[in-house]
Amino acid sequence: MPVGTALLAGCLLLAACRNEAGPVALGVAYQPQNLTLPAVELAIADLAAARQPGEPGIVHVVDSTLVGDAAETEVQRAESLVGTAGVVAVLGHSSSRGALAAAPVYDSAGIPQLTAIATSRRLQLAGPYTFALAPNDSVEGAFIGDFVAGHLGARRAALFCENDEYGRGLCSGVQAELARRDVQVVDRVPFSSASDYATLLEATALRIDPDVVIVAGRQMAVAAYAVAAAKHMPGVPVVAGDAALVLPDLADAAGAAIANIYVTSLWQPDAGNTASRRFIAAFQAKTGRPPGPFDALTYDAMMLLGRAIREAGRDPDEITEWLRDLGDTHPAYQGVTGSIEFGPERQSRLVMTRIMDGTPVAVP
Amino acid sequence: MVLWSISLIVLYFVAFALYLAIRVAPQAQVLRGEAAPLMVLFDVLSERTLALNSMTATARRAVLDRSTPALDTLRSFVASIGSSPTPLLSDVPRDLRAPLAQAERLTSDIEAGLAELVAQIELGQTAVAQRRLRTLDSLHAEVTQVVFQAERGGFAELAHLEAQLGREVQRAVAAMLAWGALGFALLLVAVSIVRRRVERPLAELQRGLDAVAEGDLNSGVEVRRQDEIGELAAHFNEMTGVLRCRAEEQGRFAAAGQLIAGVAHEVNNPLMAIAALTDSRLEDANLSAELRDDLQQMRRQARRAGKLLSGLLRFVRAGEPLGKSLVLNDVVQSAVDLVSYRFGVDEITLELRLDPSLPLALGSAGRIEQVMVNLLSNGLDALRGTARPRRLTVDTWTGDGKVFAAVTDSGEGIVPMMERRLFMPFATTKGADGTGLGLYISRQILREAGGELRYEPATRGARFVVELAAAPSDAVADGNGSAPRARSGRPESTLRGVQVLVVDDEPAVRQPIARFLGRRGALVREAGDGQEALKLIEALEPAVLLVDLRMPRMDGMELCERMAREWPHLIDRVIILSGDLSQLGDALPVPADRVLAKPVELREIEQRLVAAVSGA
Repeated sequence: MPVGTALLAGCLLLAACRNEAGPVALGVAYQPQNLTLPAVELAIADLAAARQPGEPGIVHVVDSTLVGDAAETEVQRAESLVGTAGVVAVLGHSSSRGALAAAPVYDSAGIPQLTAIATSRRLQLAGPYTFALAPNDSVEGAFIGDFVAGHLGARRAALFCENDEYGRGLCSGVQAELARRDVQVVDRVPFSSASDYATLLEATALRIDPDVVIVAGRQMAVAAYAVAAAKHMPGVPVVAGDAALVLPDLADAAGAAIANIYVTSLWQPDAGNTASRRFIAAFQAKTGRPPGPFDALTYDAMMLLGRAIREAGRDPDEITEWLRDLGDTHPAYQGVTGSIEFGPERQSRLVMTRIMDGTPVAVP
Repeated sequence: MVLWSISLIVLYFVAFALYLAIRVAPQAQVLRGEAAPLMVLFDVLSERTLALNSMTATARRAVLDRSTPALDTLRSFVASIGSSPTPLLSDVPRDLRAPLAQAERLTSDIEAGLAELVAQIELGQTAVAQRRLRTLDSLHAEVTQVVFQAERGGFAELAHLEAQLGREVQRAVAAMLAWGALGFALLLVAVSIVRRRVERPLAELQRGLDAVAEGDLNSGVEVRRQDEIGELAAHFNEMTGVLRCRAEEQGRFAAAGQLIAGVAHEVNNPLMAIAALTDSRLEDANLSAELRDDLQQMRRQARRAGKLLSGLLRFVRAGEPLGKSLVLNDVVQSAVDLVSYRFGVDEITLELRLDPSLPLALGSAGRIEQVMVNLLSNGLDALRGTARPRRLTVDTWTGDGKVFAAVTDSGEGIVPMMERRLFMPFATTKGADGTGLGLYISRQILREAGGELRYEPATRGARFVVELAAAPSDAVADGNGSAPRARSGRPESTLRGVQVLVVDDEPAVRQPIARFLGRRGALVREAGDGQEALKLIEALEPAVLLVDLRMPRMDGMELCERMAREWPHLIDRVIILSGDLSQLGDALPVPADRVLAKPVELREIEQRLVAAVSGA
């Protein structure tokens, strides 16, 4: 067990021994440098502020010793968290690949895992302890395909799919919708974070003539493809999935090509929502930047787990049961990103945006 | 107990199956649950690794040899990447998750690298493509190593699971042997129990049945328990008790029959002598009216006594040939005659309401007479000691193809408690005076004849109904033993010149007959026994013979046999005259119409002799 986690675990254990009603821990399976961690801290602070007398305090645990998001690292991260005393639930992981790789660990330990931003549809099959807050890649793929065919009127699409769980899943969803809408997929190119995106796109441009480029990848890949597209396929729009909406990285990397990028957002600030307004203000005050969808979803996920502990207690099985029955035997949770539940009535809140002045703006 | 033994065996096998299921099935399930996804994952990884091997070689040809077909193949492969999902690691053993995830990542990187390589070749970036190829080779080597390690770990895991299952199977086999031994022991116990509880009592019962079949009615079996077999043994004992009582009853009847037969013969001979002498004397036309009346009264009383004796003989004789049909009214009348002496003694009024149009009934007259005597006796017993008037009524009627007789007494009736047990063995209301077998045997007799006996409560007293099936219209009634009636009218000198040999050991019988026949013109010779008769036959060869059956030195039967052998033409001229016809049974030496029962009127003898001579 890593030294840092071990120390924290020891403290928690002592606290638990001292007082049955001592603090409970929520594991956060994010990398230590993850930009959404302030949302976690904000949620913990809000939970503490709302704590009623007699309710246990809630702390969060991050394994600061593990760096990287390779699948094997995510498995180690999960094992570290479930091995930490006092951890009753885990937020994460930050990617579909990591969440899927780690799911068996939580399943074996009997600890609920709530992913905020992972979109793989296969998370539904990962086990009874795994819950996903974001819409899955089938839903997002259908949303993007519908936008490409309907709004952009594209007939020939080139797909660039990051060769991991997220990219493959999203590309499959998009491809299914495009086939349904009679849009031809003229090229499907896998890539990795180490790929030369410009070369890949140039080769595609040399070979075929698509009228839209769809990228199922992260912000740097999307930006690179957009830059290459501006050069080799002028005027051809680039449509990206939710993983690309990391600002200001996307805008900075894309430069002028940002004007040609459409990016899917899992959340857009709602000025009419008091909680949303308050969260935006608090987050901006804490970090100096407006919150993105990942921040909002992460905040909601933490607040939801806090509510689950308050309602169901510190038993992981009870928390799991409470999450499963959300929207069924007890009302859906009203968060910053809207109403949250895990049943069949779950609503999709996807929005297609363009980046204007560094800010995502919904495409009408 | 048997049920308990069978339940025990069934329980054993169920427990055995459950034990095996609980002991081995989970382990097998675990092995299957863990091995199946592992094997699927290995298949997928192997497939992808093999594809990568092939595509890496293809990429080398495309880069180094500038092979266009190789590039096309590579391009097609790249386009297909990601179309099939990678397997989940959920069901993979924990130790294999990290290496398999690493292998998955490396494989994905190689696939993406191949896509980039294709692009570089298409863009003519040969040098860059060659560098990329080396990178891919390096990644390929790495993934091969990782997959190899993962596979080794997987196989080790599989081997571990298999060994675990093997141990469980060994334990299960050991348990099976132990259970088998236990089961065998239980089986032995069960067999022993079954033998002790079932086979042994059944064998005892079988021995008892064999003994009964051989005539030993004193055999019984021990009733050890209150279960089905115990009940069977108890029923067997009751049955043998009934049979024993019935046999004793029949024995008494048989002994009485023999006694009465002897008495009948001894009494019938004097009766015959009286009848013959009175007949002979009545031939005298010069008798005074008073003397003639006296002689006629003597003859009637002698005939009455003879008739009573023959009825008694018929009733008690064992081995009587079973008749097939009967006249129920005659049977009733005969039965009434047998018990009639009690009506006067007990001041009982008998009312006979016999339907004269009764058809013949199926059954043996003698047996049914026994039933009727029993019912009449019961009725008389029931009436004895009751308040006057005492009435016994016998009805006969017919209907629905059946013939009925009912005996109704005006006594106190049957108490309800007894009604249910009336026809059961040893059920009696007569205390020590009754055997309790009368009604039981009567019902058996009727049922053997296809009939029934039932009790019907009467307004006053008891009513027993005998039911018999009506005989077919062409049936002939068997006789009830009564002698053929004498025909009226007698020609004078009807036997003129006929040689008649009268063979009887009683001179008091023989001589009056001889004198009577002599007056009818016959040439009569007398013999005191069979031997004397043989000498006379040899000397005279008579035209007709009147032969008594029971005689000293040589009886009538033996005489007939000798005649049948030595003078066969004479046997058709033999008329049997006997005081006990019942001893003849089925072995009549002459036709039934040439058999006369003592006492008989001399005119009847005359008619039979005339008929025999005419036939000759």
